Amino acid sequence: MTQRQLLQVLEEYLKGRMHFVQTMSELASRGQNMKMLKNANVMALLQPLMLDVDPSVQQIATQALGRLVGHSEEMAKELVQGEVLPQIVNSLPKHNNYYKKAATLVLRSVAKHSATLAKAVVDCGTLDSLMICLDEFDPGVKESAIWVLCHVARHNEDLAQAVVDAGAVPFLVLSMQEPEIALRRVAVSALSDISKHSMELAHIVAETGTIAILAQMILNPDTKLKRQVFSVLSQIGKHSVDLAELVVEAEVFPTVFICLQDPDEVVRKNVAILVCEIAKHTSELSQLIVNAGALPALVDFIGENEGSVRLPAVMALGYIAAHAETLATAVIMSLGIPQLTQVLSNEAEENYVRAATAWSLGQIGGHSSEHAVAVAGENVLPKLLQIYTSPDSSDDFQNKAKNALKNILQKCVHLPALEPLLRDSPQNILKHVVIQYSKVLPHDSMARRTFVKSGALQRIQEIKTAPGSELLETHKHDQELLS
Amino acid sequence: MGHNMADVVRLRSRPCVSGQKYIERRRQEEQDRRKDILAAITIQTWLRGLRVRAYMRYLHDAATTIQRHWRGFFQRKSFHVLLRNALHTRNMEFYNCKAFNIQKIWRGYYVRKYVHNYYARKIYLETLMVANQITRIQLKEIVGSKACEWDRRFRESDEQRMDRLACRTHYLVSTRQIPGIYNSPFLKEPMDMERRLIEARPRINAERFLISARNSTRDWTEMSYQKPCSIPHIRAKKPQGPFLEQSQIWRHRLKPLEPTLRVATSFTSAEEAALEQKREEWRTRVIDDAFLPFANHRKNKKYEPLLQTSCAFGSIDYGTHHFRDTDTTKNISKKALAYTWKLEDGRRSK
Repeated sequence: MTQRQLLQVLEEYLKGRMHFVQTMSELASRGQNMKMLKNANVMALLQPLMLDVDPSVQQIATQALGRLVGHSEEMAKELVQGEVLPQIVNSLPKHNNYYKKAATLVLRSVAKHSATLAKAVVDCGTLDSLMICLDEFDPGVKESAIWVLCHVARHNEDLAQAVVDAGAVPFLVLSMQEPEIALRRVAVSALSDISKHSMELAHIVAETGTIAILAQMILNPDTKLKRQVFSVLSQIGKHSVDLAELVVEAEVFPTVFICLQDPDEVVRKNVAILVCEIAKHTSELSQLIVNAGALPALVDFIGENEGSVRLPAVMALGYIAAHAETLATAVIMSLGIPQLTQVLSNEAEENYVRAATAWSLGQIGGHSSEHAVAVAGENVLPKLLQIYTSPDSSDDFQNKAKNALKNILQKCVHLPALEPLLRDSPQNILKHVVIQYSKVLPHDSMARRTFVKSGALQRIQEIKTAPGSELLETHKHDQELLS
Repeated sequence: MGHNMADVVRLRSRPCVSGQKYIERRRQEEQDRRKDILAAITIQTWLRGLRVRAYMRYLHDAATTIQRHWRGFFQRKSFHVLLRNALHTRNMEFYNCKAFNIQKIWRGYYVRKYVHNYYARKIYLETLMVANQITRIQLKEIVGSKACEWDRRFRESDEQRMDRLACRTHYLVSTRQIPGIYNSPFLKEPMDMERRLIEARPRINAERFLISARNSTRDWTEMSYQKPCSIPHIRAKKPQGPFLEQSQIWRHRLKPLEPTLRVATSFTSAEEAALEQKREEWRTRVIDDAFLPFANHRKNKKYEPLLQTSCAFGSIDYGTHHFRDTDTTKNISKKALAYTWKLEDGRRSK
C-alpha cells in the first residue's frame, strides 16, 4: 500500500467517526430518542471515542455523551462505574476551550441527577480542575464550569461545603460582575444553591460583599437573572436574624416591590418568598418592611395573582401580623382581610394555600377583640367551621382551620358574628362560643334581649351536653343569667 | 427656877401669908399636878405634832417642788424628742403624699409615652395608611412606565425573532413565477412575513458579533474586540496571496482610538491652566497679607502709632468736660450759638 492509500483509508475512518459522533450528538439532544440509544448501547461505543486522537472527535463525542447522560440517570451511573470521569477530569486543564465546554457538560449532566452521583463527581477531584477552568478568559468556559458547581452544590450541605472549600465563592462573586448575562445568571444561581443549605454557608456568601452587588442587580431588565437574584437574597435572608438584617441594610426594600408586578411569574414568586423570609424573623424586621410599604404591595399582589404564587405573600402577611398587635392592625387597615377571605373561599385554590390563609387569619384575629371583630366581619368564621367539619379537607388544613378558629373565638366578643357558629359546631368549638357568650351576657342587657329574641337561647337549650363537661357548666351559668 | 437671893429676900419681906393658905395652895397644886402634867403632856404632844407636821409639810413641799421641777425638766426634754418625732412623722407623711403624687404622675406619663403610647400608635397607623397610598401610587407609576418598557421589549424581541427567522428562511420569498407561502393569491395583500423576507439581508461576521455584544449591558463601542464564535472556514481552496486574516482585519478596523498625550491635550491648555489657577487663587486665598517668617518677627513688626498722634485733628484740650463741649468764655457775644434752619415758607425756625 502506498502512502496515499493509507492516508485515504485513515481519512475515511476519521470521517466515519466524525459522522457517527455528530449524529449521536444531535440525536441525544432530543429526549424521545433516549430509549433507542440506550438499547443500542451507544454509551459503550462513545466512551472510547472520548479518548480519541483527533481533538474534534473527542470534543463532539464528549458532548454527545454529556447530552445522553443528562437525560437519564442509569446512564449516569453506568458512566461513573465505567471510571471514565477521572480521565475526563484530569484532561480538563490540558485541552482547548471546546473540549472544556464539552467535558463540563458531561460533569454537569452526571452531577444533576442525585447526591451520590454528585459526590462521585466531586471525589474524582473535579473541583480543582474546575477552579482552573474558572481562571480562563472565555466566558463560555466559565459559564459551564460554574454550572457544574451549581449542580453539585444543589443537593446537600456537604457538597456545598466542598464547593466552598475549593475556593469557588470569590470567583463566583467576580463572575457576577462580568458583562455577559449568561455568566451572571449562572453565577448567581450557583450562589443561591450554595447559600440555601445552612447558616454558615450563607454567611460565607454574604460576607464577601455579595449583597450590595445583588442589590444593584435587582432592577436589571433580564428576567432569568432577576429570578436568581431574588432567590439568592431569600436564601441568604432565611437563616438568621443577622443575615436578614444584612439583606435589609442593602436597601433592597422599596425597590423590591416594583418587581412584585413583573410580567414573569417566577420573579414575582421569588420576590414574595424574599419578603416572607425576612418578615419571619423578628418584629423589628417586620416593622421595617411595613414602613417601607410592604402592605399595599402584598395585598395587591394577592388580589392580582392566582394559585400557588400567592402562598408566600399570604404567609408574609401572617408572619407580619403575628409579631405585634400594631402590625396586625396595620394589616387590617390595609384591607388585607377581604383578600384573604377571597383566597380562603376560592374552592379552586390548592389546599395548602387555603391552609396558609386560615393560619394567617388566625394570627391576625388572635390579638384582641377589635382584631377578632374585624376578622369575623367578613363571614370568615362559618367558612373556617365548614372547612374544619368537612371530611374532604386534608388533616393539615383541618388542624390549621381549627387553630385559627380557636384563636379568633377566644377574643371575639361580637355576638352577631358568633351566632352562626351555634348551629352545627362540634363540641370543642361550641365550648368556646358558649364561653364567649357567658363573658358578654352578664354585662350587656341589650345583648341579652337580642340573644333571647334571635332564638340563640333555644339553641343553647337544645344542646345536649355530656355531664361534667365544661360546656355543661357554662350552659348552667347562662341559664342562671337568663332566669 | 432660879432661886436667887433677891427672890428669897423679896419673899421674906412680904407680909406673911398664913401658912394655912400656903399649905392648901400646895395641896391644891399637888392635886392639880397630875391634871397639869396631863394637860402639859397634851399640849406638848399637840405642839410636837404640829411641829412635826409642819416639818413634814415643809419636807413634802420641798420634795414636791423638786419633783415638780425635775418632772417638768425631764418631760420637757422627752417632749422635745416626742415633738421632733411627731414632726418627723408629719413631715414624712406629707412628703410621702407628695412623692406618691409625683410617682403617680410619672408612672402615668412613662407608660403612656414609652410602654403603650396610644396617640403615637394612632398617628403611626394613620401615617402608615397615607404612606401606603403614596406607595401604591408610586408603584403604579413606576410599573406603568416599566410596563410600557416591558411591552416594548417583548414586542422588540418578537420583532427581532421574526427578522432572524426571515433571514434564515429568505429562500421562501415569492418570485414572479412562483408566489411564496406568505403571498397567497387568495389574500388581498401579502402577509407581514413576506415583507420581512424581502427586506432580509445577509449578515456578516462583524454584525453577528455586534448583535451578541448588544445583548450584554455595556456599550459596544467601549468593548474590546472579542473573538466571534464562528465555525472554522471550509478550506476548499486557499486564496492566493499573502492576505491578512479576517480576524486581524476586523481587529484593526474596530480598534478604539487611543490618542497620544500630545494629541489629546488642547491647544489652549496652557492658558486654560493659568485661568484655572487664577480662579483657584481667587477662591481659596482669604488672607491677603504676606506670610512673614518667624525668624525676624520682632524686627518686622510694624509700628502702630496712637490714634491721638496719628489723627489730623489732634486731641481735645485737657479740662474739657464733654466731647462736644464748647468754651463760651472766649465768644464775642454772651449768647450761646443758636441753630436755625429754613422752613418751607421762607421763615427760619428757632
